[in-house]
Amino acid sequence: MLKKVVDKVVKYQSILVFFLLWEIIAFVGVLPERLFPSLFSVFGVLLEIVVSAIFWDNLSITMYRVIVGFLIAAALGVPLGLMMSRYNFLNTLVQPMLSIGYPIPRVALYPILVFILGIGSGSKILLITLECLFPIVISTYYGAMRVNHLFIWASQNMGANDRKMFWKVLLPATTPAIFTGLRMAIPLALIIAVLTEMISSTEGIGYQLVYLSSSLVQENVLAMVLLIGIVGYILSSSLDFIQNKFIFWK
Amino acid sequence: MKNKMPAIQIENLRKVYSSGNEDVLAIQDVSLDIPEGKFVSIVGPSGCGKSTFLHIVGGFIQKTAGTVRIRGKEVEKPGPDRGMMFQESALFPWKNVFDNVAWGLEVQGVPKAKRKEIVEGFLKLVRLWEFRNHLPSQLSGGMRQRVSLARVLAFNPDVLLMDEPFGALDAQTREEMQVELQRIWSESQKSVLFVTHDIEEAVFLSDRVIVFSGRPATITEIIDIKFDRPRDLSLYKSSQFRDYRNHIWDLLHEEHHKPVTSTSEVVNG
Repeated sequence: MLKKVVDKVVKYQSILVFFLLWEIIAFVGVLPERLFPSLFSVFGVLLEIVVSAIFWDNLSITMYRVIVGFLIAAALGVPLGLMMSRYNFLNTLVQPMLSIGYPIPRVALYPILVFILGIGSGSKILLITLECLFPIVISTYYGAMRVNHLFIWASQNMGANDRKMFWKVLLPATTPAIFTGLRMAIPLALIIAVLTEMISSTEGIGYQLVYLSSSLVQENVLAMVLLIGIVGYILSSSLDFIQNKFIFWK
Repeated sequence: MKNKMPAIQIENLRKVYSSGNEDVLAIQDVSLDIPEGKFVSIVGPSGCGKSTFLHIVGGFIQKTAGTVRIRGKEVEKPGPDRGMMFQESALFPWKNVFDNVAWGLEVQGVPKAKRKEIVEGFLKLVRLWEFRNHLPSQLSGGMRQRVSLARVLAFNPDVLLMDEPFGALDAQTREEMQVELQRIWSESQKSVLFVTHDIEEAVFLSDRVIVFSGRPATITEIIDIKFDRPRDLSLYKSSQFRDYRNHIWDLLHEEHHKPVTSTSEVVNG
């Protein structure tokens, strides 16, 4: 029991040290308290936010956008990455779009998407999907390219057609790389959801963040940012949990 | 009439690799028959193209010219009429032993109850039925290759193609596997084309040993091995075994002393 506590402390030591340093700076008072409040008052506000119904309403809307956008990206990106590894023409077609599209700040397209789809969930989900596609497609493609070719040969040898080979051999053999892509994509999904809600929305935790920051009380902003961090952490951990169910054989 | 037809018939098989502007001849017009029910090995210096040869027979690599027939039927691509066993274990790491062996049957639409019966039979044949729920990563190298053998036998191919299946095993496990393979082979009655760089392994297991030359691969000599079966490991110590071994060793080493130009022949076209 004690060992477990110690292990947790060791695992999150950097965060503890960060909090400690923060408290020291806040206590010494080198910066005005309005800009650099004590973490205790931040946590106080955080608790107030968490118990309010409005936060949970906003969170559920944001989560809906994050998860739908992310799942669409996974449903499109994984098969696309796998097919690119099998069909050269598709790879030649898609690779340039990846290399040019990846460095573009896609959030710049958001106003256009709003113009087409409105300020509701549609435009936000589309942008989240677009953002998540890149790491998912790229990880899946390179993972599939590195799959032991004997798995593919063996399946063909046993009489598997292309479709069987694709879904029953190539897909499971690529799952470790696919999860690497998904792990990179899920925080992006949350960031884009919050960002687009900050730009134009009347609901969601991004909207709540903007609303709270307009009060010019730093505790509110910091508490909300901290909460978003915790939500991101829970999303990633859930994905880890699913990954361990899937890749029990590694 | 049907009994006279060879299990595998290869005519004028040729393989040219194109790398950049150069075409490299890997296999030069090899013709070969594997009689029904016989165990035939190919030995040759490493890099001579014997694995490539087997991969072409398996349909995994495209040939440049020539024909490959299995029981008279010409083949172009991989198929379950030729059971291929690879050097490394090509078992699916995400499936347990049972499901690995059952998968080929599942793909070919064998009903579930029948699948279980067949898998049980072959896992018992390779003495691994107790390990049916293990993952490949939980088995030793020798056990993994026994599962691979059961997997290949399970879908009942016309012929077995084996690409240095014991190449990654330690010397002792290797000898055990040779005895095991002989036992399983004599029960299954399959025709086998076996590729190895280990001369003794070839002599111990085979009815016939085919010696390949270095690149480009051609047949140097065909040697019939006349030992009774079943053979046991004490055969290794017999003088006749030594004679076979030394003869093949000489053939392979003459090869080494040939001028360098012949091992890297370049053709245009």
